[in-house]
Amino acid sequence: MITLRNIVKNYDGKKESSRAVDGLDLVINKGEFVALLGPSGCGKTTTLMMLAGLLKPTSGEIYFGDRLVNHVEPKDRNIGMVFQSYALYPHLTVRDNIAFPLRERKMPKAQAYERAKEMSKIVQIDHLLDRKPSQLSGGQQQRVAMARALAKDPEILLLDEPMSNLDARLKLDVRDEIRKLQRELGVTTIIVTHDQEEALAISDRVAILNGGKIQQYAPPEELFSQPVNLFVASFLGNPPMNLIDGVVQEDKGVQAIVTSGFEFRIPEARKLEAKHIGKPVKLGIRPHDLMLTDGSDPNAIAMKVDLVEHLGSGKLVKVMDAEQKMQSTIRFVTDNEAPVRHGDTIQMKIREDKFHIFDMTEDGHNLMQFR
Amino acid sequence: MTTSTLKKALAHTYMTLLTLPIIAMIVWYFLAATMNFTTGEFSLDNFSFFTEPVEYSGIKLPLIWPIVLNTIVYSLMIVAIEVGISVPTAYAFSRLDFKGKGAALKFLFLMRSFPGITLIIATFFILVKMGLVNTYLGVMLVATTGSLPGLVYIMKGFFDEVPWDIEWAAMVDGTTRFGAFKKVLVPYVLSGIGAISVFAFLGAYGEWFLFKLLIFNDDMLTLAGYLAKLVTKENQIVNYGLITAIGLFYTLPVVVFYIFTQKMFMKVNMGGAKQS
Ligand SMILES: Nc1ncnc2c1ncn2[C@@H]1O[C@H](COP(=O)(O)OP(=O)(O)OP(=O)(O)O)[C@@H](O)[C@H]1O
Ligand SMILES: [Mg+2]
Repeated sequence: MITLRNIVKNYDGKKESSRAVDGLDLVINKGEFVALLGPSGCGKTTTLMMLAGLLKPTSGEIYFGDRLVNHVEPKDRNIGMVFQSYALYPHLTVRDNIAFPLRERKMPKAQAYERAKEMSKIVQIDHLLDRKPSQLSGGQQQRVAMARALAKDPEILLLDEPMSNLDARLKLDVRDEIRKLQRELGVTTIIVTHDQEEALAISDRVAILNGGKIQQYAPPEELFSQPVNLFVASFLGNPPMNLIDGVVQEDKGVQAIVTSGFEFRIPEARKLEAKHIGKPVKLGIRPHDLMLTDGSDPNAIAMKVDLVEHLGSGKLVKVMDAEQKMQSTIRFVTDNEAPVRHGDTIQMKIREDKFHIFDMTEDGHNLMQFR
Repeated sequence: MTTSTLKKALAHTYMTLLTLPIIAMIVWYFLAATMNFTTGEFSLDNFSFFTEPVEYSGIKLPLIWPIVLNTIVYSLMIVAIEVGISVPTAYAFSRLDFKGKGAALKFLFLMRSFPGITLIIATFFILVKMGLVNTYLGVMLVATTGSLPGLVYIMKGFFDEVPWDIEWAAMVDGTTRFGAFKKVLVPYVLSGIGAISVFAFLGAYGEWFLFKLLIFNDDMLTLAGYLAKLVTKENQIVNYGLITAIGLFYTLPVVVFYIFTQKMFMKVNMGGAKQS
């Protein structure tokens, strides 16, 4: 188990302005696969480097099990790491690259080479053992880096954007392989990525970072269905969630969010506390949670079709309110058969319970109580 | 004739014309060493310095072989010292954070472009005070001081090119910081070390001024100093044949060395790390 407790990292010791990680708390269970996901510059690499021991936290504690490792050197942490650039040693052959960490542990050469051969078979590069890194393709280099990281049977595997240099097709293959390998070896793995699809696909839990803070740390489906705040909601999902400005109003015990284009009635079961009445909120609806309906539906909202894009598997429809009073369009997804054309006026409704309301008076947290 | 062949012909003529003087010079150089100009016959008289001490017009110089030995020992020692100091120093400048690094770097740059000759009187005075005049130690101190800033600067450039990832990877893989330096960084910058070794060697091999200034015993000279002795002002009669002959003997190893090291540079492999 890895525990990060209130980790702060300032690159320039005293200066607060150089803060890259700002009070991070994270617990990673043994054998778990965790992704650190966030926009560029949010402190993912910094966090990983602190786990590796290549950077020292300014304050806070890092535990591996019960052992405080803040001041343990990287070489004594028993970690394997794959860098974004792969960082293979250019002067060594693939065999020597994989054997390098073993040789550093004073393993006899013959044995180290034997193990290197084994590892290379697992990642399917055993025919390349005598090559130099410069004679390998990007995908092959990536495999060598994996083999090198795993050769010493590490307790923790750290991956810093290991797939960002691969093409889209290869990415998918490598992703599955990494996941399979990780399951087989049961090694606790932390991957850094800014590719949300990758993070959601591969990990048991995802920590979403922004501004050096964890926004939400949960399994992928929970992040998707129950985002804790506006950042998580808007960061995840493609096409992104619709976020519509509105104000909470109550009339005869019925609450509604009034936007410039329409009024959305909040179901009885989801009623907000009274203190939110009259306050600004954002209504969040995923494009998949809007659907077409007919005019007889009491919840129907009339909209004008602005644009229709074909996604292959369906259509992405952008709509405006009839009077065009809203600042932004609303996106939703329909199947290919739906008769939607540019300029049409359609009726749509929000899927029951599939909406979020974010408090805009404070930090944008989600007002919906789940479960 | 098409324009492209015309262009080619022009280019070739141009190149030939430009290289001709150089070729002529080399040919003449060989001739001067191996021909008796008064009789116009081929002769190896000028190469008698191989077997006996040089002596003409009142100048007496020792036999050349001990001088050759001096040259080899001196040059190799300079290479060892200068490379041994500049590589770790350059690493520190490139990779470590320490107080006064910026100022030290600026000073280094200043020293590199500073004409050392202007300091020579002070240097001489200091060496006299320290009792290091007429010793190899004195010459080496002054010589290394002069060339280190340049070498450190070049070497720093090579270290700057090494991605941090490689060093970090080594440390995660079980080396200490020094281990990473030794096992990963040094091999990575090997071509740079080769380059500064060549510079250091050529500098030492061609050093005559310091020998002229600080060494009074002729049998302590190196080849460059030896050659310089032959062209002294006091005796105006210069034995041209002798100078070119010794000059030839002096240059040949450098040419061979150059061809050899050039091959080595070609082989050095700089790949394997994709930089993002
Ligand atoms: N060596 C450094 N010195 C000073 N500041 C740094 C250094 N490295 C990173 N930073 C800053 O720290 C913050 C976090 O950087 P970090 O590299 O952890 O981001 P990241 O989440 O990995 O981003 P990316 O997705 O672009 O790799 C950034 O604002 C960055 O500018
Ligand atoms: Mg990063």
